[in-house]
Amino acid sequence: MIVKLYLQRDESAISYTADKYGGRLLSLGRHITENVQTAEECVNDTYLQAWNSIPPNDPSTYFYPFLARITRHIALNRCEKENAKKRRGQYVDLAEELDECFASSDNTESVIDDMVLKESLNRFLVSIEEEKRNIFLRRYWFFDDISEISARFGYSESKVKSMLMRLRGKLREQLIKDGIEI
Amino acid sequence: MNGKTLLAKMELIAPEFIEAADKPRKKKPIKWQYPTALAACLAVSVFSGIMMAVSPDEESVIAAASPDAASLFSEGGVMLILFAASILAALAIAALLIKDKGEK
Repeated sequence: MIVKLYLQRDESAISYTADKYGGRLLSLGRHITENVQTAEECVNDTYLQAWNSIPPNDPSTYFYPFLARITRHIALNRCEKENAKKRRGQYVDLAEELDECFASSDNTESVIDDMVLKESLNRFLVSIEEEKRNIFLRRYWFFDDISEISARFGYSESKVKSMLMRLRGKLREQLIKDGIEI
Repeated sequence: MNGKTLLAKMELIAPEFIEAADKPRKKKPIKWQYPTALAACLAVSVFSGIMMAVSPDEESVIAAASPDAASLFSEGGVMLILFAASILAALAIAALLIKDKGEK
């Protein structure tokens, strides 16, 4: 419904989007940037990007993931700038956890085809149980704290940490199998 | 590639996974069997403990009032076994309850 308003270039689409998804997007932005004001800016930029990209995109069947992806991208870019000022945060901690997936985590940019990586990540996610998949994504997509994941899924924090460690190991195996891990 | 790049590239995953991970979770109902069994064991242990604690003077009073009740008090060994068994059962159920809460 809301996507139709974007396609019709009806500006009320943005207010409907804010009403329906604003809270979730703000929560995501806050988890990534760890700052409410920055998160609000990211969400406002999300609405603008959504307006500019629909059309040609038509995310009717997956509108929230479409918006969340934009918010996440904007928020991570902001974190990258903050990281340049040497401020440690959740972003750095999570990046260090995922460094375990690589034999040597260097900063040199390697050219890896996004399609190949996308297929490998999706193959990994399909291969694990739904609950473990959700836990993995809550940590590395939504940037949830261990305590939040523990409360959400009803596991102890130590159990969540050990599950994530095993999942990172499985991801590493998948990346090696698909010839991505360097 | 490093962790930072992978963290950014996570946006490539299928949208249905993102949708599923953000769905509110239903709270699992507490199994009623464990607390009920625990309460029953504790009730038995309290009852048998009281029975064992009854003094000889009280026993004779009870025996005068009700000969059937007196036979229970003469079987102090049975009460002791019942008391010990119910305590052990309560501890076992409590351990299962804690383990169940820890896993799920």
